[in-house]
Amino acid sequence: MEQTLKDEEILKLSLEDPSYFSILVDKYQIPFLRKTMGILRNREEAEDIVQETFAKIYRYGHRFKKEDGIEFKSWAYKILMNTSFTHYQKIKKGSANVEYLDPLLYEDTPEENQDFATIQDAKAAVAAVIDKMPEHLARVLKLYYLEDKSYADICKTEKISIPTLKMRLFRSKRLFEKLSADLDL
Amino acid sequence: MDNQKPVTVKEMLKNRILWRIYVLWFLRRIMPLVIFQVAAFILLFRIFAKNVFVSKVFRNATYAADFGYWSLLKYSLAAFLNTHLITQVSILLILGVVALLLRDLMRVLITYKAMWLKR
Repeated sequence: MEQTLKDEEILKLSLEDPSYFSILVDKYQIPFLRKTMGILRNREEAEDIVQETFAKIYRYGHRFKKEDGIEFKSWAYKILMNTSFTHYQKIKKGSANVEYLDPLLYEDTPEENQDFATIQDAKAAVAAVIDKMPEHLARVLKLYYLEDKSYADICKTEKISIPTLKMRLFRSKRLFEKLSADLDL
Repeated sequence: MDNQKPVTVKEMLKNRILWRIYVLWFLRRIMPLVIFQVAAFILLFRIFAKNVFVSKVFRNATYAADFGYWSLLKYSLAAFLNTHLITQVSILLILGVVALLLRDLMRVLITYKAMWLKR
């Protein structure tokens, strides 16, 4: 029966009975690990990130609502990428207050980020990188990561299709990463 | 002969993830319930102990038990029916809370076993 269930249904079931979650782990742990290895290039850290990502998926699972263009897979990958990039930035900067790219954390644990000055610095640094990006890429990045808008909302605002949006987000993330490295953030 | 299969890296990571999910589930779904049930049990038991001389009831129960299970059951029923309403209610609620605690304990054990079974 479980094989016919969709991922979001399995997630919902797993909130009551966590043994269902092993189906999602079986399905996604290797692709997640491969993706994270591509960013961090360190097996142990990648495993920690994958573990952290699954924990976040489970913790925030009750908030996930399936909408047009938002599949469980893309939501899960968004969490994975945010967790990986946050970790990557932490390693690069050696600082703990760089979780501005993670909307889940930013939303839920404001008391953890009490160092206001550091947050402002981080925001200014992000703004500086975004300023250097082409306007259409910067706009989608801001809407998706900083304002946490859904695919549907962004597509409506930008008057573009979901595949175009995904491509723009992909390109903007790459560019953001490159510019951050150039600025040594 | 050792028939156990070696644990692969993939399984080790899966076990770590599932263990963490199990802890999250326990803390979020079971812990608050158990805390509430234990608090209710303590409160109800204090009400019960205030109204009933427990050691006397037990002593009488052992006398009744000397005549067999049937007389013990009859004694327990008679003692229950002849006590105050508040004591009767507290006994029923204590039994209910204990049943819920046992249910949750079973759920914890069954879920723990099910977590690592292949689906």
